[in-house]
Amino acid sequence: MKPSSRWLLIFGAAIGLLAIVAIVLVLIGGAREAPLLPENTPEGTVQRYFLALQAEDYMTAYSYLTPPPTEKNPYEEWRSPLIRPEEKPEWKVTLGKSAVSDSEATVDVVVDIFRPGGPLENPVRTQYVTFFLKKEGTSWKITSPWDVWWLFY
Amino acid sequence: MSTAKRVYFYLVYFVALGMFAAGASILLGVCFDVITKYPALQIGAQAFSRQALSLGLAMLVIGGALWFLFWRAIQRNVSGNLAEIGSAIRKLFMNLILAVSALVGLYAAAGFLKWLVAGALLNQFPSGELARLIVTGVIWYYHWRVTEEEGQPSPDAKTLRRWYVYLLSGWGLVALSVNLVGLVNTAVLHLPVWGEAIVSGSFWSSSVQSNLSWILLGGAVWGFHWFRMARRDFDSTLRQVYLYLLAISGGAIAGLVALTTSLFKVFRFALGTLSTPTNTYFQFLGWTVPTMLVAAAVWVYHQHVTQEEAAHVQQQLSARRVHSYLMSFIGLGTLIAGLIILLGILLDVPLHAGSMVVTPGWWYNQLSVCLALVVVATPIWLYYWNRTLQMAAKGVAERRASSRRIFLYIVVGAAILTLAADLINIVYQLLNGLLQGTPGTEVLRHSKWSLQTLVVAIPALMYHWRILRQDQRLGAEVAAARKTVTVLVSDRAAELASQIEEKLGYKVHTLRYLGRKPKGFPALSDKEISRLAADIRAAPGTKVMLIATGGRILVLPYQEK
Repeated sequence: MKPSSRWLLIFGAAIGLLAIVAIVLVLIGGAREAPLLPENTPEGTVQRYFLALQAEDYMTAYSYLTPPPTEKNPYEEWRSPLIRPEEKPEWKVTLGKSAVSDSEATVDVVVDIFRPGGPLENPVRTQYVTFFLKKEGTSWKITSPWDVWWLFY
Repeated sequence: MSTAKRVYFYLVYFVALGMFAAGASILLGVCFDVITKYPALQIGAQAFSRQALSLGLAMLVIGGALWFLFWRAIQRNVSGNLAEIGSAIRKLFMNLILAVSALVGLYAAAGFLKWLVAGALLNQFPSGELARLIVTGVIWYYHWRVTEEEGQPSPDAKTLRRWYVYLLSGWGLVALSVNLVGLVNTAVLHLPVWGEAIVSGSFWSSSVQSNLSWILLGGAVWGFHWFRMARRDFDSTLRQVYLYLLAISGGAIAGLVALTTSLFKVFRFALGTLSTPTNTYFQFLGWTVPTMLVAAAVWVYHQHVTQEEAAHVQQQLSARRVHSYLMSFIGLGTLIAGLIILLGILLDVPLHAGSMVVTPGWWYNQLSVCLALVVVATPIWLYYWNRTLQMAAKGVAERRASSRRIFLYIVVGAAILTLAADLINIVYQLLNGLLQGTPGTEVLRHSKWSLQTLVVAIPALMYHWRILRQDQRLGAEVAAARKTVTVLVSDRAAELASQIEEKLGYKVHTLRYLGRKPKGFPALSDKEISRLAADIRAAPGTKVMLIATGGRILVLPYQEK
C-alpha cells in the first residue's frame, strides 16, 4: 500500500470514529441542562432570564430587567429585535464567575451563537459578556446589558 | 486530462474538501464543547449541540463522499504520469490547499494559544479553534506529504511551489516582526519610569497574549518555510523578490519611518516647544526603537543571505535593481520633502517679520520635521544612488533596464510638471500684484509654496535630465532587435537561458529536454555567451532554436510554415 493511501485509510477511520463519538456525546452528554439555581441569587436571575428568552417568554424575561429611565416605551424597545423568530440562530450560554458586593453584583457569561457561514468560516460566534445586577428587595434585577439584539445577530 | 477536465476535477475537489473540513471541524468542536463544558452551568446547550451535530454530520458525510470520489479519480489519472503530476492546474490547487489550510490553521492556533497563555479557563475553552487547528493541520500535512512524494517535475510546478513557500515565509516574517514590536512597546509603556501620567491596566492584557501567540506562530511559520522549504532554492526569481523587495526593502522602509519619527520628536524636544508632559513624551521610543532594531535585524540578515548566495546565483539582478531604484526613489523623495520644508522656513522669516499674530518659535516644528527628513534621507539616497551609478557603469544593458527607465522618467516628468505649475503661479501672482497695484509681501506670500518647490525642482530636473540624455546617447532607448529565441536544455544546463537573456536584454523561451541526460555539459565563459548572443543576432530570420548537444550549442534559425 502506498504511504498516501495508508494515510487516507487512517484519516477515514479517524473521521468515522469522530462521527460516532460526536453522536454519542451529543445524545448522551449534551442532553444535560444546568440545575435551576436559587432565584434570589445573581446567577439564578441571569439563568432564569436566559431560560425565559430561550422559551420565547419575553414578558417573564423582561421582568428580570431594570430598564434605563431614559426609555419612553422600554418594553417595546427591548422587544423589537425579537420580532422575527424564523431568523433566530441557536445559542447557548455558559455561566462563569460571579461577584457580589452589597447591593450590586456581576455575573460573567460566555454566549456561543451558532450561525453557519462559508466552509472555512467558524460557524460559532463567541461573546464574553458581563451582566451587572442590582438588588431590589430580596431579588436581583439586571441593569446591563439591557438590550438583547446582540444575541440574534 | 484536458485542461477543462483538470479545472473541473480540482475545483469540485477543492469545494468538497472545504465542506468535508467544515463538517469535521463542527463535529470535533461539538465533542470538545460537550467534554470541556460538561461541569459548567449551561443554558440552551442541548439544542445548540444538536443543531451543530446535524449540520456537521450532513457536511461530513456528503462533503466527505464527494471529496473521496474526486480524490480517487484524480489520483488514478495522476498515478505514474509525470505530465499529470507536473501540470500547472494540479499544482495550483495543491499549493492553494496548502496555503489556505496553513493560514486558517494558524489563526485557529493563535486563538488556542491565546486561551492557553490567558490562564486556560475551562468555561472559555476555544472548542472551535482547536477543532479547526486539528482539521486544517491534518489537511495540510496530508497534502504536503503527497506533494513531497511526487516532487515538482515541471517548471510550472516549481514556480507554484515557490509562490506558496515565499508567501508563507513573508507572512511569517511580517507576523513575527510586527508582534515583537507590539510586545516590546506594551512592555515599555508599562515600565515604572513614566510617572503617574500613564493610566493603564495590567501588562498581561489581551494584546500581550495575542502578541506572544503570534510571535511563536510567526517564528515557526517563517522558520519552517524559509529554513526548510526554501533551502538552497538559489535559482528562483521569487526568492529574489522575497529577499530584495519584501525583506530588505520592507525592513529598510519600516526602519526609516521609525528613525525619521524618532529624530523629529528628539529635535522637537531639543528645540523646546512641547505641550505634552515631558515624563510621557518619550513613550514613542517604545515602538520606534524596537521597530528600528527588528528592521535592522531583518535587513542585515537578508542582506547577508544575498551576499552568501551571490556565488550560486546567475540571475539575481532584476529584483536587486528594482530594490536599488525603489530605495533611491524613496531617499530622493524624502530629501526633496525635507528641503522644501527648509526653504519654506527661510521664506517665512521675511513674511513673519514685524507680524504681531505670529507665535514665537513658530518654526520649531517645521525645522524638526525638515531636519529629521534630511538627516535620514541623505545617506539613504547617496548610498543607493551611488549603487545604481556603479551598476549603470557596467554597460548599456543596465541602462536599458525598465526599472532605471521608469525611475528616470518619473523623476524628470514630476520635476517638469512641478516647474510648470510653479512658474504659472509665480507669473500669475506677479502680474496680478502689478495690475492690482499690490506688489510686495502679498505676492511673496501667495507664491511661497511655488518658490519652495521651484528652487528644489530645478537642480533635481537638471541632474536627472543630464543622466537621461547620457543614457540616450549610449543607446539605452534603442529598442533591441528582438528574435524569438527558444532554448532546449536539460536541468543541468538550466542557467544557460538566463545567461543568454542577460546578454540579449530580453526573455527567451525554455524547453526542457526529457531524454537521456547529456554528459559533462561544460559551463560557458562570459566570452562564449557573448559570442552565442552575437550568433543569435546575426542569424537570418526572426526565430532561433538553441540546442545544447555533444558539449556544444547549436544555433538553428528556423521559420514556421
